[in-house]
Amino acid sequence: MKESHPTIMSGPPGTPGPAPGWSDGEVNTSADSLALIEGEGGQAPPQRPEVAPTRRRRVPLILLALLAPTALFALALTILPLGYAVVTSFRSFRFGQPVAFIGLQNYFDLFRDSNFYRSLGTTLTFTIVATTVEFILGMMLALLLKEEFRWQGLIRSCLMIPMVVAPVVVGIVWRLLYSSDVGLLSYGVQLMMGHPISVLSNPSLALPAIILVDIWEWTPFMFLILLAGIQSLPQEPFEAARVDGAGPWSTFRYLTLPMLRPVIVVAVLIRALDAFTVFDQVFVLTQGGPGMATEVSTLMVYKTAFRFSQFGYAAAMAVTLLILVLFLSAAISRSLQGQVRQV
Amino acid sequence: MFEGDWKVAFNSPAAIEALEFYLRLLDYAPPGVAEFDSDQEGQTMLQGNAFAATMWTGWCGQVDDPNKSKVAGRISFSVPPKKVKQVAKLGLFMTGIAASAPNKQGALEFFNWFHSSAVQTQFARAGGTPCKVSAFKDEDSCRKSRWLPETLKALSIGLASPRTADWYKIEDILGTALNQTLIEKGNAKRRLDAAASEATAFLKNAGYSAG
Repeated sequence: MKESHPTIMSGPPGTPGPAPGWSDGEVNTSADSLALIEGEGGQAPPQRPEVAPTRRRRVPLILLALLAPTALFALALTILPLGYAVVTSFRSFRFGQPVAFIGLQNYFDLFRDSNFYRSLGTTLTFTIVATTVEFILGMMLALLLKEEFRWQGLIRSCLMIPMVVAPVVVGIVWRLLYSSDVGLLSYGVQLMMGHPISVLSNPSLALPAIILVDIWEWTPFMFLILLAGIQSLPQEPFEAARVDGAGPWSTFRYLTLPMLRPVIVVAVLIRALDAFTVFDQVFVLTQGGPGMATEVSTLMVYKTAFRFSQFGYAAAMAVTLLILVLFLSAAISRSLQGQVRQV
Repeated sequence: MFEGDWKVAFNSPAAIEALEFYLRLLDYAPPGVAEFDSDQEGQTMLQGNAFAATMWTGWCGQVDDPNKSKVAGRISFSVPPKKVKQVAKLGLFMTGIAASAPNKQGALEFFNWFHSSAVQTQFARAGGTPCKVSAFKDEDSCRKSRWLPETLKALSIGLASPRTADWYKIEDILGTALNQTLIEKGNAKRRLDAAASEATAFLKNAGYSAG
């Protein structure tokens, strides 16, 4: 079973070996793509066919010309604001105005700030728990709903509803549900146990309550991506496994999961990065309280910048979080890819 | 709140005693009060589920509307009671002209017009909270907005929190500590000491002497 994976993953079903058009002997392969393939393979470069010098120069120029608008667009919208944030993080502010260049002082202060570490811990807890539960539930739903059956369209559409509601509206609805005086949850608990429950004012319950809201809202997203991935898998290996007598668990463990690897990596990455930057639900539900029990990092950045007017310190926080997000995404990607390789 | 030179005083013995008294009032508070924002406080009063609350004047217009209140006409207004000295906490709305305003003189003339006694009286008669004593004392306004006389009394004994650029951080530190004591139903001294320590460190870092 393991030996068959490279064949399945390297090209379309029924086309074992390298995909057509990628062999070294192809005369119409451009010089750039040829060099890329050779670099990855680590082999000695084969004899290249003689190409007219004008043709070799013209191709990169055309590529550059085609890429230039997109590159400029990306530069203006992404790189420049990011660069401005980095520059801002080296300044101190007073009354909303930069007053001095203070080098790395904001970063030194940040690394001594216990509240920052506390908010980071809250954010990581939120990210890990929410993404894990959403992945498990999304996978279960995708496996349940992958087959054709009556009402399938209706059920899938219903499952999509939470995802398309604005996060602020979701927050308001759940705040009403959790409310200790008029909330449905508190009313139900009172009927069963004889006393109401205050979810959002309890430091032990507030964060799980927000995680539950995130799971409710974003499990459909995970389900949708995983379902699309499962439905795009080639059927031949599954039929072969069935003939060989593989059970549902073995089929899932040794076929579905490894073949779904790229989809899982993308789905988990997108959700984890989104969960790491959660803001609106926390803002609407608890504003970081009770105490600081649900103060996630983005909320701390927001308060530092727009309530306390410490823009430099907030920028240092944002830059640090950006670096952490990059590390987090790399770690998740490597971890997931590594796990599936071991399978 | 502060002594001279911005020395933090909200963990003084008197402050701790006041907070401990406040925590004893929790026995009479509706469930989940620690999660309440000002809207929920107001709603609790309008539902008839609380005996008293410290509220801002913008909320008062709903109390006599039977569509919004279960206890319409049954809520009265008063300045906070006293043990030693009567004090009302003031919130502030401030007006200003942006440096980038294209017509600063026109904006100034508008402010002068809006803040005149005649216009403020009309504003109060329309249900607004005025900023002129003469408008507070206008009989017609007081008939329509029966909380105005007590609001004027509150203004006369009012104490505003220092609205410096750094106040919001202090407010956040103190507010978090007070919220934690509400959740824990105790620990007044420990929480106020920690908040005072954090606020002092912040103020010193911001350039204040802070004692």
